[in-house]
Amino acid sequence: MLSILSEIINAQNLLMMNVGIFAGIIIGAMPGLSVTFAVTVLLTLSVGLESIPGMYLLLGAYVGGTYGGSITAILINTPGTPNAAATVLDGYPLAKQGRAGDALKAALYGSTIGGLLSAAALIFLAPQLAKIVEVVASPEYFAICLFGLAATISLSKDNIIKGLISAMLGLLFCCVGLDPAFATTRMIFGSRSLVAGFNSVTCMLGLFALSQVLFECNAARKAGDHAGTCGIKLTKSTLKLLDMLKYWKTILKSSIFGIIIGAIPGTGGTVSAMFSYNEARRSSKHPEEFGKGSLEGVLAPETGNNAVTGATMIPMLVLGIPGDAIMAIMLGALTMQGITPGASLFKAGSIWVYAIMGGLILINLFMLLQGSLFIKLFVHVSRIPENILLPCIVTLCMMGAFAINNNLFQNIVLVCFALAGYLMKKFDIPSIPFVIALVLGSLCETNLRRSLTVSHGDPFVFFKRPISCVVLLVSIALLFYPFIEKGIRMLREKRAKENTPK
Amino acid sequence: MKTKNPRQDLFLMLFFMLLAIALIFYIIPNQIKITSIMEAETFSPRSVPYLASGGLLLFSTVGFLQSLAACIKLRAPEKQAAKAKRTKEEWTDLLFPYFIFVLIFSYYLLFRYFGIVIASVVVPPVMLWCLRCRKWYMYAIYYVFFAIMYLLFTAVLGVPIK
Repeated sequence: MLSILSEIINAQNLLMMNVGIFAGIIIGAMPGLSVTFAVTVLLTLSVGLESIPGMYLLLGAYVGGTYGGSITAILINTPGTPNAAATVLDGYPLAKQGRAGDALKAALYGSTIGGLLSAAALIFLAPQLAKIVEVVASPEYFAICLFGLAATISLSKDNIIKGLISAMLGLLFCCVGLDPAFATTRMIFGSRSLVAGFNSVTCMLGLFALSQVLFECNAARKAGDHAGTCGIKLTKSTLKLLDMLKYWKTILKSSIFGIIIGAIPGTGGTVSAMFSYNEARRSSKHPEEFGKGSLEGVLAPETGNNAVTGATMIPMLVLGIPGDAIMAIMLGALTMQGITPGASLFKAGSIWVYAIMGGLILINLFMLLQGSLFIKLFVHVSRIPENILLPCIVTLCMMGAFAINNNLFQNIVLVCFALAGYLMKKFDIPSIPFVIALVLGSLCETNLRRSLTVSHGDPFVFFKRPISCVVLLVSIALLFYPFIEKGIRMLREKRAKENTPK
Repeated sequence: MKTKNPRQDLFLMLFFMLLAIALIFYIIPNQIKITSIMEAETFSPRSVPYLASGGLLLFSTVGFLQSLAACIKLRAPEKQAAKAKRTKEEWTDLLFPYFIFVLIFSYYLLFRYFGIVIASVVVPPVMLWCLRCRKWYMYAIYYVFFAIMYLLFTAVLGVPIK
């Protein structure tokens, strides 16, 4: 225990936590810039750091960014990140009533409590899950990888076909380089730089960070030098942390939703926030206040979205399977540091993983501190004109990509993926299945190969084992769910039409 | 598949179909050389690329057929609306991101041939100007940001960036 604490508490770690939180809150508070963007941008700085401070920097950005989205949601009726979409519903009406300070404090307290409970869930659940995972064989592992992929594809409900195409492209890009078993080169087109394959971190930097410059440039050009304005005055909060006890049921329920939803690959903060908001409204004694400025209406989504932050790390740390784009970025960062996530991390004697999990608790506490002390600063900084940000992002991405392995080849990959990311968004092709496939591809391939070799080429090996069979069936169901849902809806509409008297 | 622009999707799916065909019949056989020993294995280095390309062909064909059906369903006024001429502002909106991309690419070229300092001193201010930034202190803020980042990467993180 003491060794873990000494590993966590040192000047560099504490500094990185706070830098991450600070940058995360600011980026999260800027409309148009997502939490994924915050984590990706800070990834450039984590490259030169050791694994623990590097992870703290990224976790700080993740936790801070998730909370930061609520600032503009409350003050200017625009969610800084999609996670804060539900916060707008009651946050802005509260601000208009002159209670902006209370709404911001409620968001901060909710986010902190949700984040702390989620970190506690990670600490207690992950080691237990790791014990179970130790007995999992390659067919089950392959099935779980496919589940992770199917879950992210199913997110693109109206665009399942495009999601599948995106995943296939990700798998193809993952194949570039050396084959893991025979060490023969694959699709390198005579380029020596491609022998090592595409670095997933560079690809994500291009897809999520640099491509953002291309998305936002039109808005920045139109806005010119004008900084964002805010008609709402930031009032002083009268809310105390102890006042939250009144809402303990809402906070607890939202945290549980967040933890469960976060642990399921392919979901995330937005789903959790919406779910928590709806449940809070359903079970509230004053449901009529929702939408008009209810404090519970701010607390529930903010607790819910931050409660996913620890839980999303469970599948990533235990199985090495990222549930969303942010975890894919963190997995890429860990791989660069030579750390392979999986059940082996939890074996006795390894304090690394416990230091990361324990650090998450400190990060949430620092967020509470920064949110309380610097809220005015965050509100002002979030109004920086976008046109100054974009060239800064370009410079940071270029330097960060070079720092990955001190090679200019990463920079051309970065530039190409920025264009690819822009075109994917323009043509409505979801980029998350691409990234997850790129990260999970080699794990999928290795376990598929191992399973088929052991079973002497029997493709039904996955359906002969109960766990892999169930996981594969769930994955298939996830992919077909939007079509089934559409069919049921059409059938209902048809019946309703038939039953309507002429 | 719900789509905003079925015609655009039709061409996109056609592109992916052609890409998948090129992968299956040309790129994979030529770019992944396997020996007879590898070929005898249940799972060769070509297996996953073939599976992914097959998937790409299958899904893009389904997408193509869906887009084709959506195109046929498209009503005449909608077709006319789709054909309507773009205004100058719309053309600017359409092309400006590509212009910024050209600037980013030139940043890379300058970085490659002249170093990060020259590239960062020249290109981002041009970008700022194109983004209608007319306040001098914005340029100063950018240069301060670059100086801090350069020091951070070279002196603190030890990246040999030149």
